Parts: sequence; C-alpha cells; structure tokens
Amino acid sequence: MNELEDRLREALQRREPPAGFAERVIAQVPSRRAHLWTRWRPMAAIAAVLLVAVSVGVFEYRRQVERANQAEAANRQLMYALRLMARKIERVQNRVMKSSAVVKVDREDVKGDL
Amino acid sequence: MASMTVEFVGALLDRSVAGDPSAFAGIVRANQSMVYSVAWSFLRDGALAEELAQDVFLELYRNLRQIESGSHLVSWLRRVTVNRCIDRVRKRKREGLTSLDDAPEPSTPASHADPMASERLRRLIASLPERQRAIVILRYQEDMDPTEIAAVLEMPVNTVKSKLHRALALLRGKLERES
Repeated sequence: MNELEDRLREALQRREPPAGFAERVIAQVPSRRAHLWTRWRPMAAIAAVLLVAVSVGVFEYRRQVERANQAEAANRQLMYALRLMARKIERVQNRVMKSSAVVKVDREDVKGDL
Repeated sequence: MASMTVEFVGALLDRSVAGDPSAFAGIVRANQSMVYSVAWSFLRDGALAEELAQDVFLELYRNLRQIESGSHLVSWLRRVTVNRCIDRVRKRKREGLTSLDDAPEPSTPASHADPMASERLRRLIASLPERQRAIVILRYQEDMDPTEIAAVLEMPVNTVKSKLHRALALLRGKLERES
C-alpha cells in the first residue's frame, strides 16, 4: 500500500498553470463600479417593485376610502329624504283623519233634523 | 507553512473585500497552482484545466463577500474546482466525446523519477469514477486527510474512507494486470 501511495504522490505533483494565468483571470474581472452595480442590481429591482406595490396599494386604499365616503353620503341623503317623506305622509294622514271626523258630525246633525 | 499561507490568503481576502484590486490578484497567484493542478489531474487537458480554473477564480470573485477566512477560501476553491471537474466530465460523457485519457500531455510536465510509470498511473487515475478520482487527487495531490476531504466533498468520512480504499484496490489491480 505504501509503495502505491508513494507512486500516487509522485504522479500527482502540483504543476504551475501556463505563464500569464493570473493576468488573464484579472483581465476578466469586472470593474469595481460594474461589480457594485451587479451586487446592488437585485436589491434595486426589489426596491423598485416594492415602491410600485406600495404606491398601487396606497392609491387603491384612497380610492376605496373615497368610495366608502361617497356611499355614506348617499346613504345619509336617502335617510333624510325618507324622513321628510314620512313626515309629509303623517301630516296628510292627520288632515284626512280630521276631515273624516267633521263629515261624521254633519251626518249626525242631519239625522237629528229628520 | 500551510497555516502561514492561509493567514496570508486571509489578509489578501480582507484587502480584496475592502476594494483593493491587487489583493485579488494575490489570491489568484497564491492558489493558482492548487486549482490548476486539481483541474489538470482530473481532466488531463491543459486548455480545459486552465479554462476551468479561470472560471473558478471568477466565481470566487463574485462570491468574495461570502468567504469568511483564508481557510474557508482555500476549502471553497477546492470544493468548487472538484465539483466543476465532476460536472465537466459528466457533460463530456453525456455528449459522447472522446475520453480525456487520450489527451496529450501539457508542455510543462512536473518532474518525475519515472515519467512513464507516473503517466501510466495518471491515466489509471483518470479512469476512476468521478468521486473516487476526486478523493484520490485530494488525498495524494493536496495531501488532505479523509476528514478534510469529507468536508470539501460534503460526504461522510466513512464514505470517503471506503471510496479511497476501493479506488486504491482498483488502481492496484489495474497496475498488476498491466505489468
């Protein structure tokens, strides 16, 4: 086993890459500004999406609130109109009742005369 | 010596993360031999090994902020290099390309007592299954023990030991048959 292991160590000695290897790697490294942009780009995209989502949310919320206010105002107007109508009906009803009482008295007078 | 290198790489890492471009060049120079040698032993093709080693260093540059220390950087480089080598070999197999065992030697061979015997042994190593090949290269080229290999390859230590044992038995058998 030891002999084979020694032969493996011998066969698998490290070797240097061709000359200029490090320079070729460095030449492919993006500039710091581009690197920063690459790093921050996903965060910028997420921030933009969040901003749009929040804006749409706020807009929708305000529209809903406005609609609710309008509905409430319409409701109040309707209730007011119904109350007015109820009062008028009540007055008419009172008048009708009064006039029917006068007619009844007149008829009894006529019966007495006969 | 090894810990000195790790400390040196750790210092270069700090400077590189802080934005010193020359520090990254230092990291490449300090580790190029290791990355290139692992790739070369695995692929047995100088051009492919250089291309793969360049890709590994560029990936390192993109992930530099996630590296915590010099020793983490070295183990990261080993892991990524081995995984990329395994992927490359599997891709070549899928594409049905010629075995890299037939590829010519590069122009800068290492010094050997018996070049023919070493070349025969390297050819046999290249014929091992990918994981066994990775373990043999890390064990005898990088002089790593099974625990370190297990950490790099993210597999149990006992699996590393059994694969190494099997690989050595396979190599011994092939060598005996050839002689």
